[in-house]
Amino acid sequence: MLLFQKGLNYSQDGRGNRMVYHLVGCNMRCPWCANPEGIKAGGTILTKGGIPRRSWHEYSVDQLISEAVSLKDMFFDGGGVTLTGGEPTLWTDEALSLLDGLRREGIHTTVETNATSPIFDKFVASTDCMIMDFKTPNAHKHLAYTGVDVEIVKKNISYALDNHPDVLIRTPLINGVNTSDEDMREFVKFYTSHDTSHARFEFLKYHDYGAVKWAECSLPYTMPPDSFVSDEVVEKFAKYYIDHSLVVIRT
Amino acid sequence: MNNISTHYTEIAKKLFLEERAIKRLDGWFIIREEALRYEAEHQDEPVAIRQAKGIQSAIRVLPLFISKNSLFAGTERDAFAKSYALINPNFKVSTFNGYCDPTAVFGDIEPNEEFSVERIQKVRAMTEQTPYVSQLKQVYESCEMDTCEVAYFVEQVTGHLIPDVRDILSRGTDALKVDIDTKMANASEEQKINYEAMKIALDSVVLLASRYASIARDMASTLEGEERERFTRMADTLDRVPRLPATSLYEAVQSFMMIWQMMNIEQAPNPFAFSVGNADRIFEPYRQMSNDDRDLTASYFKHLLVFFNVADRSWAISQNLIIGGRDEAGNDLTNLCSYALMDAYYDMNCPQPILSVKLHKNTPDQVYEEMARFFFTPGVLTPSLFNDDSMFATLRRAGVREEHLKDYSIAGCQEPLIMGKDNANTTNTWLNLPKILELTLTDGVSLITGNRLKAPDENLVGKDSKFILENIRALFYRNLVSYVTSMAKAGNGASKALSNLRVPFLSTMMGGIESGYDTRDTMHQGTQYNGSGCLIHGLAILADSFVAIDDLLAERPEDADRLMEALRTNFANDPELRGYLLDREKFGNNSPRVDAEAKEIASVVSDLISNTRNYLSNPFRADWSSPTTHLLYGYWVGATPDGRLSREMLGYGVDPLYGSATGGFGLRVLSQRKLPYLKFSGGYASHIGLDPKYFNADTIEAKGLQLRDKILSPLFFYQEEDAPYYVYFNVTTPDTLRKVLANPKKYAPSGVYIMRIHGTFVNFLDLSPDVQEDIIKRLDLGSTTC
Ligand code: SF4
Repeated sequence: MLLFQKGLNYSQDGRGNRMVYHLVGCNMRCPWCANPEGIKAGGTILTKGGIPRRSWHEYSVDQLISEAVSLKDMFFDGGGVTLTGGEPTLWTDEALSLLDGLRREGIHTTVETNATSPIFDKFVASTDCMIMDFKTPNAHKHLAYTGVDVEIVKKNISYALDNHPDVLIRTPLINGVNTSDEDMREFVKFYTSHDTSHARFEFLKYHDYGAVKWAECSLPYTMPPDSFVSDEVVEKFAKYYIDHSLVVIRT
Repeated sequence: MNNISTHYTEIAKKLFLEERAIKRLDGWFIIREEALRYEAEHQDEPVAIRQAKGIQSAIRVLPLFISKNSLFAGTERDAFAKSYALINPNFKVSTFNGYCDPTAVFGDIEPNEEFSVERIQKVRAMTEQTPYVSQLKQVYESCEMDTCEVAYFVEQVTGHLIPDVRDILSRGTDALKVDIDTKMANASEEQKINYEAMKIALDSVVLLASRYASIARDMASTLEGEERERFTRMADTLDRVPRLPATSLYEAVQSFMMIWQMMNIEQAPNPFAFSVGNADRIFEPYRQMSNDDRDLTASYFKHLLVFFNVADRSWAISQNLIIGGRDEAGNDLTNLCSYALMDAYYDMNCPQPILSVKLHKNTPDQVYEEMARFFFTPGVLTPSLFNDDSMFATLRRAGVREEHLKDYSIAGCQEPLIMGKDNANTTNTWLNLPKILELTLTDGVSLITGNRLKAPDENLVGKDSKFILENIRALFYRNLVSYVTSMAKAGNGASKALSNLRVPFLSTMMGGIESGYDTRDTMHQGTQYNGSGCLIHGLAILADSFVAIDDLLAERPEDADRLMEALRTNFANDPELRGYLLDREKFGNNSPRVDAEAKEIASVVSDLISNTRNYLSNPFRADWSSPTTHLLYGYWVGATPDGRLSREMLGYGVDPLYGSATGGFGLRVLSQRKLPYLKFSGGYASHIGLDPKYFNADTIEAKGLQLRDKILSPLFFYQEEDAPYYVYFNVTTPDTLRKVLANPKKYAPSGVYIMRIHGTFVNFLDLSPDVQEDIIKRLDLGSTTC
């Protein structure tokens, strides 16, 4: 498996202290992506300070499992391993056997995904916590911004809501993309057509920390300067969600 | 706090401010001047006796002073000159010259009416004539080619020991003199001379106390009320101690100060890094005698802490005071004095002495809860932490007897020594592995200056770059053996030069009364344990470089010449190759291959050092630490095959190179767990920067338990032996420190913002920009947060 980043962090990508593996490759092309070096399958060459640097390192499934096992005493506060990316579900067989191996060792597993996998049910069955990024329920906008049809995303999120006991849905709030009242209503309409009693929702304010990396990847950063959102917008969303009995978390 | 404790605290704080207002330090000069005068006039006396009497004569003439804010008499100010090699505000990495000139200190005195240029010059000239200085000069000349760009460095070690003050405190110097008389009956002539010198030295400390007693009595006669009482008590106490046993905590602290002052005067100028040892255990019996409560005890200790601070910048003299810990059966040894010392440290926040805390798997929760205030209050000192469980195993392996294990404590920053029994010459030799790697790759030519620093290896005639790279380990270790052999010879030479300066007073607290020999004797062992230190630099760079070379040979062997050329030109024309090298696996990321390499290097080099003998045929001790010297020595190392640029700093201690461990605390700990701690008999250094937001408990005390559970348990207590036994933290972020620098008035209104650097506290605001930047860089949150 190719990873472009790995490391422990606390409560940012799942609960407790977690080892987070960032897998290379993504099928979306979000222009706001904070990890552009993780998009291209096979990895990217970044140029940092004039020095060309490889974005990835290669590991076997067994290596990662044994690493996680040796970290067990540091997975406190309910921690464990999170697979993220890029899009981790693109590594179908490897990712699934990694998840199964971790669970066999009693390690809590989380997958952070854009919910496009055609074998999503298998991931849902193999993962203790599903974190799904949902950019917009609007078909036109979803296709325009990510390059992927929203229907598969909706189908998979619906499946997870209906079948998984621990779901977190994250939405990056980006001015001009998904922050209008209509966007807000569309999100909530979609969620409330499901049982959301075991789901939590989180908003991530747009930031441009990834811009430097886009440059390092020799790619143009196309996000307009007015993409930032105010706290008021986040609060507006949070209130609206809460008013519709959705659980909003802040990490 | 009751009234008297509050009052003692107030005057301790005033006393500290008074100390920080002192600009000139001339006492050491007066001591040397008078001692040398006496010695010149008494050439007929045996050296040991002549020197002891020289010091006694100096104590007779040394100007003494007691402040109205003092609770105890005494100062160590007169032992120190106005500079400190590394951590003074003028420090620049480019100024290191590979030579430790013992007469350079005379440049510290600014001439004035009292201390004229001629007067200073005369004492300097007399010092230059001493056997000590001339022998030391010869040593440096003999190894100049090796030290000029720091393949290694050697120095004579003053201070850096842990006297056992307990005997003098509990029995008094009179009783020790009786012991000496008994031993003299069966002593050799040489021992008799040493014993005579020890008795003179014991009389000298009594003389010092009596001079202070009369000053205190004179002051009392002019004062009223509490002040009169305080100075009368001081005078009465100084009439008794240290000549007689201390019978209360107050007397013990006063006695201790006299002992400490005398010990420092004996080694003036600049006896760095004398350490108190297990302070809570030393003082607790006396606290129990006087039944003092925690507040009163803490207020006495506040004065004790001020005593260790010298003049305007409270320089890092690297004195260490340790609390907590266990005995050989695993029983916890924490007592009320442990907590009172913490109270005193927290309230005073003085830069000296260093606070160290010994931990073990059964350390009570209360220690973590009370210690937490240091870690979670910005700008307050933080203790160094030691893991007794693992340390005991390391010391046991090094030959320390079971009953002495609990008496280990820390000399200087992190070097473990047995209190009162161990002369370890801790900073005697310094080894720069990356420089030796450089000289192996170039066959002896410096990448920094182009100078040839070593004769060409005849086995390499006609060999190409690929051959050198393919055989890099064998060639490196062969060179290393040769450098270590020369280093040990030079280091032993420095120790022999230093042995010209006898230390009879110190020797009475180091087993000298038992052995009849001076602690510094290089022909006879005066202490139960003896060794010499070797501070080894550059573990991570060496491991990363070996792995990068292997990868290059495996993946692109045709680039062997290209690598050599890139190193010569500091990668100026080859960013692609530098990128390739930087992308290799690095130590600190739980990479099995590079971690195994680091373990192997640490093991082989530690064994090599341990198999090298000092002047008494005792082992050198492998100490993987770099007290700011990772900056200095890095400045003399050219580009390295791990992609590091020329003159950049080396890694700190056993830590990953700055910026190359990116997976956070957990992966870094997994890498560092693999090192062979049992072989690190001389100590090692490791620093972890922690982001305060990682500790989210509601109370400071609960954060202390989180520190234990989240950081210390996985770091220290995952196994009993061969586990890390030392760490220091800075709980802050680079951002915060930059704010402090930009706006010190806001973030440090008192002018003091304590940070840790290496094992010692420093006032961050007093540091030179080079060192400030080093601290900020090494917070390196990518490698250290969780
Ligand atoms: S789905 Fe996530 S990883 Fe993929 S491009 Fe979008 S933001 Fe980046």
